[in-house]
Amino acid sequence: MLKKDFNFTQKFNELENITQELESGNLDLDASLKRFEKGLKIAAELKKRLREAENKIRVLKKNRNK
Amino acid sequence: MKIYSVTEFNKEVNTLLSDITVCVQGEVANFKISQNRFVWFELKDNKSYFSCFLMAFNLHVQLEDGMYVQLIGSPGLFTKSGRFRFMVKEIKLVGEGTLKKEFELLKKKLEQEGLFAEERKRTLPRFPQRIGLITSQDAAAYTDVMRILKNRWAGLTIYFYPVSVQGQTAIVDIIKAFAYFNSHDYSLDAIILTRGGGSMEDLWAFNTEEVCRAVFGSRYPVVSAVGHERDVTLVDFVADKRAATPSNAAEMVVPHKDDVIFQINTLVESQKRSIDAYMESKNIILDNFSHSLDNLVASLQEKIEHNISLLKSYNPRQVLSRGYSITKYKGKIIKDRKKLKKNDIIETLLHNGKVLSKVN
Repeated sequence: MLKKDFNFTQKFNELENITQELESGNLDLDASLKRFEKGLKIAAELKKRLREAENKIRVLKKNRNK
Repeated sequence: MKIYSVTEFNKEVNTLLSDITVCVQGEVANFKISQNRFVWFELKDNKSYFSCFLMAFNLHVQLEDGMYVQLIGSPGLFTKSGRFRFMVKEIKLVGEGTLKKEFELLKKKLEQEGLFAEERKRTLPRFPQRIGLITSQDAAAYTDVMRILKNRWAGLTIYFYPVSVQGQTAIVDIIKAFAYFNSHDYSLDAIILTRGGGSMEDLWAFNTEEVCRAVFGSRYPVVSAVGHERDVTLVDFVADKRAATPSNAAEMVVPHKDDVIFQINTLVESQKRSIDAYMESKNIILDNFSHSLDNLVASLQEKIEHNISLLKSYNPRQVLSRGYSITKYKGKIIKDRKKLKKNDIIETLLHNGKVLSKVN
């Protein structure tokens, strides 16, 4: 079961940021590889989430007319 | 027989009539609102008419002469004048023509008030996690929305508020639903308000001022999908986004997971390319460095060789070979003739040997 507070948007944004950082070429090789590794990890998490997580339904109020 | 005063009589008649609640259908005529508080009009058919009255705050539809309505209310008298009036409690619009007129009147009013303004429309987040759903549980719309959400996206929490989607109860339910979401902190990304197709009368709740204002007052962006593609309701104008059908509403709210997986893969690919390009650029710098090192070595070598030949040219033996000679006396090089006297034996060095001579 995945964590309840999984923030898809935040993780996706981070993946995009890593891509930009690497494209900028401002990092040294060591830092670049570390960021790339982090990017791979996030990408895997996001894909796992999309493939495995279920939608949950919370019914807020019984319809009194039925 | 009891003798009434005029006031007593009017009051008595009014009390008697007020016990009756009826529904009368007819056409509106001479509609007016006085002092912004009192609503007057006549209800007529082709033979007769009577006066109708209600307070302005109880008027929830836009009335106009010529509209067909059903009035629920009670007959009675004004006790002062004894004039007859029908006290209106509820107004129901009748017939497509009347509904269309009402639609246009209310549309104009809400538009002027800014409820449809483009600049207040909110954008939907890219990747929603929590969405509100306001519809009827029995409707096909509910099943459609749920199916599309499931097919397209994952990990959503759907807060479903079941409502009636037709008639007076729909109006009350929908207002309550928005009030509920406004007062609970679910941090929703969007609310879908939807129902399936039907006649203009079926969809009427979505054309009422109350429901429009409820949508306008929502703290979360609202996607409306009422009826089929061709059905346009006033709620559609107020909502942040209008979807053609319930399924379409779900498509608008969540992206397709396949598309997002593709995007993720593309990002990772681009990261890989950046790393490759980085490595490549470092290799080029290294290449450039070793190339310039080669050049440096070559030029140094050249310099050394040049200096060697220069040094060689300074070797005195080279000079002797060109015909010069060195004169020594007692092992010392003689540069000054005054240092020599007669009969001194001097030594002359040539490139291939030496000669001894006596000074004259």
